[in-house]
Amino acid sequence: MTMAFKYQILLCPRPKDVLLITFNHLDAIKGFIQDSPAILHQVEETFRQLTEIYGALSAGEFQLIRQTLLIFFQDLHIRVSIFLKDRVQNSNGRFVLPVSGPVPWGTEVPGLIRMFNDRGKEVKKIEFKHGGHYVTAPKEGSFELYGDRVLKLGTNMYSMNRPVETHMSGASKNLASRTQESIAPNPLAKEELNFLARLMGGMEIKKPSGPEPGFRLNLFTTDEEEEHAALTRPEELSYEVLNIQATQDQQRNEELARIMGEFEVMDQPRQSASKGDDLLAMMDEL
Amino acid sequence: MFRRERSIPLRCSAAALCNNLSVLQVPSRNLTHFGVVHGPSAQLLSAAPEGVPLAQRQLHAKEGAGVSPPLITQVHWCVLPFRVLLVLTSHRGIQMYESDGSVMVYWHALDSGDVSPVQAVFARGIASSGHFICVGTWSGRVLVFDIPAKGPNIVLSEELAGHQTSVTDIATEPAQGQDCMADMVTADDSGLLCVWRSGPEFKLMTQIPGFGVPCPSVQLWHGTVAAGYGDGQVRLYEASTGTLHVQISAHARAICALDLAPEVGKLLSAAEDTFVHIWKLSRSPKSGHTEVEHCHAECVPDTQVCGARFCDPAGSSFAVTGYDLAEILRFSSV
Repeated sequence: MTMAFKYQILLCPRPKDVLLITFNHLDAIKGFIQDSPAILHQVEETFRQLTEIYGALSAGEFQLIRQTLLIFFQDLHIRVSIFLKDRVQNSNGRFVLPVSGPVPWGTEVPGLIRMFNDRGKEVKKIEFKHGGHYVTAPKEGSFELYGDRVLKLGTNMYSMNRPVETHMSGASKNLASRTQESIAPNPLAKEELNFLARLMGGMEIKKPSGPEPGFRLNLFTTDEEEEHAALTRPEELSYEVLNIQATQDQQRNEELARIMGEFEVMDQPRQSASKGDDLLAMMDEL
Repeated sequence: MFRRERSIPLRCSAAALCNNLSVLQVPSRNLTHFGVVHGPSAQLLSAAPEGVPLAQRQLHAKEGAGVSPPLITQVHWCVLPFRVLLVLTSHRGIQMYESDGSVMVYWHALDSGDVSPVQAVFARGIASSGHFICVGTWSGRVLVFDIPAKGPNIVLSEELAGHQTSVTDIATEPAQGQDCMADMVTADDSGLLCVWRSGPEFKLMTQIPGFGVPCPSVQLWHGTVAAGYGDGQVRLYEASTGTLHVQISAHARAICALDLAPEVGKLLSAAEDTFVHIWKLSRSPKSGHTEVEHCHAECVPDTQVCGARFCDPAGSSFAVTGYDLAEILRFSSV
């Protein structure tokens, strides 16, 4: 939380944009409570008061606010997994400052020297190599009650549409590593197939190792919801555990062995690390 | 071309303030003194040419009635004709020390008067002109202190009114001995520049209007004002007339420091976009106008630069500080 706040203040393009970050927060709150007109009214009142107090501040005053906040967060280098994963934070805890992408609204793309004579007429124009790769700002974020803030800082950082700037130097590398991740086998799939293999009796049951071996079956989308459901479950519904001795059933084993026999692989059997890998490879070939 | 030298470790990291590095060269002892603001404290250290820190000292802003220690806004060495003083400005007042920071010789408390408690009260912007030290304040007033050749008998001789918003930086250059020569420029949060002539009574020569964008750093060289703005622009004006001669789209983020190497007319600009640029200023022999040439670009990766200074009058080396960075980075030409 602290680091997310520091990130937003540090990366904020113009000092004045700290207000746009706050408006992004308020927009998100408005999204949560859109069905409740009374609360919505309170949020809009908050918005109105923020605009009243901060709307008229000069760029210099916003810079003072930003600098003071940065002094408050100075020497905090906590590493945050989501930032590290998105490569917006380095392993030493410092944030990545992009040297490309759009410049702040009102700023010209660096790289031009213009010279004027005494009457203010432009007499010479020289380009120079700045070192960054910037583009002009598309438009200014809206400081109105409703509108496009443009700035993504301050929006939900867990949403799929990541608020991070993708214009950093290692962007292409980043993309490559993501593709690599998706090629790598999902460990959960392997674990599930191993379980299936065990049920089929084609693999001996080992003692569980590690803190949480295998996988759990969730009836809800997240662990939090699962826990919540467990807590709110009415007392009268007692646990009824159903034991299925699938691995012990000899008759079924014979039947399964026959089915497994049908999955005959014509190619040379590969040297794989485990049964799960075997099954995955087999499915790839089907 | 510049090459990175061994950096100087700091005990505490640098705060996100503009012009957050002061450099004093002591050629007689082959030493360089550095001053960096950490937040509620400031660090002074002296280093040998190889970058080995020899002595460190910490200074604190004078405590007041508040609950939290006051934040320091700037430290700067003022080289006067007969002595060198270290000036420290904070949200409480102005402190002047002997050049090594050992003895505080003067304290000036800021008078907040009847301003509302939400208004930030501070001093910022330090420069010396002749035997005067000028310090800017939050209200836009510039305080002029008369400094005796020795001893603590410092007096506030004048208050200059020219700015309506907080002063950001002050630059001076030695008077060239001519009449009507502008030798001091002050900048403020609205981007307004005031050009002054120093003397027993300071005289406002010109005002160069701003654009609503702050001007965090300003320099003066041979009658040319170099101003760095919050939108990454560097502008060069004729000090006496206020005519704009050069406009450089120099940086992608707010400029936080400018410095000049007076012997060669090299200008250094540093900004929050992690870049430090070196420019060469010259006078066109034909028209007499100031011209600019880009010499060098240095990127300090993932560092929001907050201070940068040349380390010698020939501009062959410079030092950089960055927000949250507990070292002074040094570069020298090869």
